[in-house]
Amino acid sequence: MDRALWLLYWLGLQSWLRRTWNSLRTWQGVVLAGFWVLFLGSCMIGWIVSRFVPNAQPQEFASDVTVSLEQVERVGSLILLGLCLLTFATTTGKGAIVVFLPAEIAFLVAGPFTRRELLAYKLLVVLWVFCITSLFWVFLLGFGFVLRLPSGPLPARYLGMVLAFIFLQLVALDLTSLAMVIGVRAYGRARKIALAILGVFAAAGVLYAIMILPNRGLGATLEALEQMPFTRALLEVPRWFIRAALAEHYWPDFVAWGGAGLGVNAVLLLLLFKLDAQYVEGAAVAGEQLYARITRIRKEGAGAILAKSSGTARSSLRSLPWWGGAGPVLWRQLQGMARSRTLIFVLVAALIGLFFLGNWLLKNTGAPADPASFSPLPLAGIIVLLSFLIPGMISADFRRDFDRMDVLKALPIGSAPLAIGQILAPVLCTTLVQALGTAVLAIRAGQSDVVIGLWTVFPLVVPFNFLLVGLDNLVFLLCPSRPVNVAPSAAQFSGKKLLLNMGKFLVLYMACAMAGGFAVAVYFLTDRLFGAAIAVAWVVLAAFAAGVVPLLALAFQRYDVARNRPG
Amino acid sequence: MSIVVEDFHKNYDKTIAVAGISFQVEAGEILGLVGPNGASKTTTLRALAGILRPTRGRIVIAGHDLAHEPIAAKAALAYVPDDPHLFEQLTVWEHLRFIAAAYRVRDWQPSALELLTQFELTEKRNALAAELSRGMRQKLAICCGYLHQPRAVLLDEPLTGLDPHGIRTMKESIGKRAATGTAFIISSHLLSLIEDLCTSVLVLHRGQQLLHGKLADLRREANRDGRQETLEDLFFRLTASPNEPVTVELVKGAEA
Repeated sequence: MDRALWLLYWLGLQSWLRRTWNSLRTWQGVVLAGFWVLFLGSCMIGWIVSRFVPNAQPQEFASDVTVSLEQVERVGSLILLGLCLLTFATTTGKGAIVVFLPAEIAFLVAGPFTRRELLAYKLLVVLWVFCITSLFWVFLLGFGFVLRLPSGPLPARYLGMVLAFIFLQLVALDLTSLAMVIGVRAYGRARKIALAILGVFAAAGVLYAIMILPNRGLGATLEALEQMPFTRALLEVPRWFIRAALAEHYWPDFVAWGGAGLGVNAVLLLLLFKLDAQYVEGAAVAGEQLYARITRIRKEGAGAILAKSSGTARSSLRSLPWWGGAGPVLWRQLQGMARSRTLIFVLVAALIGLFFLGNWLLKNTGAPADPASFSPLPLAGIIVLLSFLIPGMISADFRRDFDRMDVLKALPIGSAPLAIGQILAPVLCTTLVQALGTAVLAIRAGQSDVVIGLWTVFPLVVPFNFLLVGLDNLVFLLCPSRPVNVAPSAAQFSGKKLLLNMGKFLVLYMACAMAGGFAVAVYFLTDRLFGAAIAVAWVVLAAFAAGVVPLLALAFQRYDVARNRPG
Repeated sequence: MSIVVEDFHKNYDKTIAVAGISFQVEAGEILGLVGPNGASKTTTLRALAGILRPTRGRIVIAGHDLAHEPIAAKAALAYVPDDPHLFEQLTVWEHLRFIAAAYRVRDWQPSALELLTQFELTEKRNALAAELSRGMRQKLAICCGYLHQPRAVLLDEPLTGLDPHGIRTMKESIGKRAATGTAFIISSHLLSLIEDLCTSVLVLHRGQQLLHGKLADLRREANRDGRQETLEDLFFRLTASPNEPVTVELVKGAEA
């Protein structure tokens, strides 16, 4: 690889160290670093204690989480084979084998580098990602509390995982390169034939299992299928990687299986470079598309990426009254939201999600078979959860307008009505989704008590949503950052933002606790008048929500478009 | 010849982006690439920079065929896109350091310092690219392009975001480098810039070559039959009715 590309790596590493050091010199950085040190330290201490102090962990707990090597090897090989087959089935040859970022297109693709050098550069980046990802998995599976691998040499576990990840990546890259070299059409035909053969073998295997091994459980049938020569041949290579990752000793286990995996990867890598596919243009185009998508998410929120195409300008909402200036601002947000189709996507996704989640909850809480034991609280919890999810997906407030703050500031509208107009659209939209969701759940529950219970507490979500969206926007105005942040300065903001978010939750907690406290008091003082209790809770939440408006207005006034640019 | 383009076609599936354009740029020549939005100016520049592969045709940079000798061709070339994308995590100086390594520039520091001084970036030497304004990013992209003394420079809307001083510096630097034999292709919607700087013009319209000729010939065409048109008038006339015939001299100029 060209030495200039090595220099680029080195400069990138230096830059990362510099940024980390700079962030550590701020109080936010110190707080954040302290948090990570505490978190990682406590995990490591837990591991050391469980490893070196005998019987430090209750035996029954340990036996619950530790799985046998045979189980992991069997399931792991099947998963790896499944992923390889999935890669083969989904690799149409039309995709890009790597993706170049805009700066890489300008400096590397247009620079004096060969295709192979650029591929090697990108592969090293991928390798770095796998090294980090594997570290996470080793940490999770080695010290995990949910599922824990049997003890073994950790470096072997780690390297085995890295080899397995690289294997999967190289399979995908080789297939795409092959398609580019022989032509997408020819590759497509060959792929269909291979998939058909695989399908025939799979069907034959299932038939064999049904006819020869009747009345056996699913596990036993699967085991019999695994023992068939065709399946064993397919599983052989994935098994090498899993055995390397599960090696109990460095010698001979890890050396043998790790060496075999390394050999397979070397062959795949050699094939990739030998094919030398014309990938550059596809990679540049894919990079630009990715960048455009990131830019779109930054502007329109996460929902925009799934909402795909923007709507047409055929229909227009009717203008709203002036309302001190809040009306036109709200109209603009609602119009933009309707046109981006994000609202429709969020509505459909939320309702489908609510239907299935509600269904699951109703089945698992005993309703409707046992109405007496059924509590509407889990359903109410789901409705409240939407308050946290939907505004972020729609992002039709100050957060979407971070590139237009100067335009907002130039409007002849007071800060308070402007702030209300800005945040009202996500509040209304979230409330609408929650109302429809409540209706769906109420119909599904089919019990009058649950329906009445849900609708009685429903008015509370309006001030709650207003308070939550208001606080979110307040955090944004005090510490501006983009919804999707790839800028290096993002790290410097994360500490401050973390603290502001903690403050936000503290205020929310206080508001809910006070509303709940007053509601309980009124409930007992009025001789169990539920409606009065809800009304008092509503007033308390509304007071908190109203209190956010002047704070938002002040934060907007103090927002400096020249200095407070989002990171 | 510094840049030779022969029968360049670019298709995206069934969409024809560029339908067979041919032109040459001599050493020291400044070619203005003009055309309305969607004329495929940027596609042409990106193909010349080796980012896009021509569907058909041949591109030669400083005597090296881009298809067969891409490294030699790219080493003689600088491409500055309209929206300068930089490595956000690198400083101004580190960008120049990387370019020097990539293009094998020896003793690059004095030239780099000179460029930073010329484009008023000396104070920003240790600033991260992410911290630069739009204009400064453009200046840095230009410095990166100039550092290895390319024989051909492709500039896509080079004046976007520059301050008046930056615009003057940019224009002067193009003139000086052209005088030393560097060939330029400048894509711009600013016809005044084309008139000020360019020695020849290539007009594209919907991926087709509408006109190619020396600026002097173009001026003659504008004044033909006592019309007294400005370059802007001529541009609008040509792009409004692309099939209207132009003079024999200009067509010859295109063929030459």
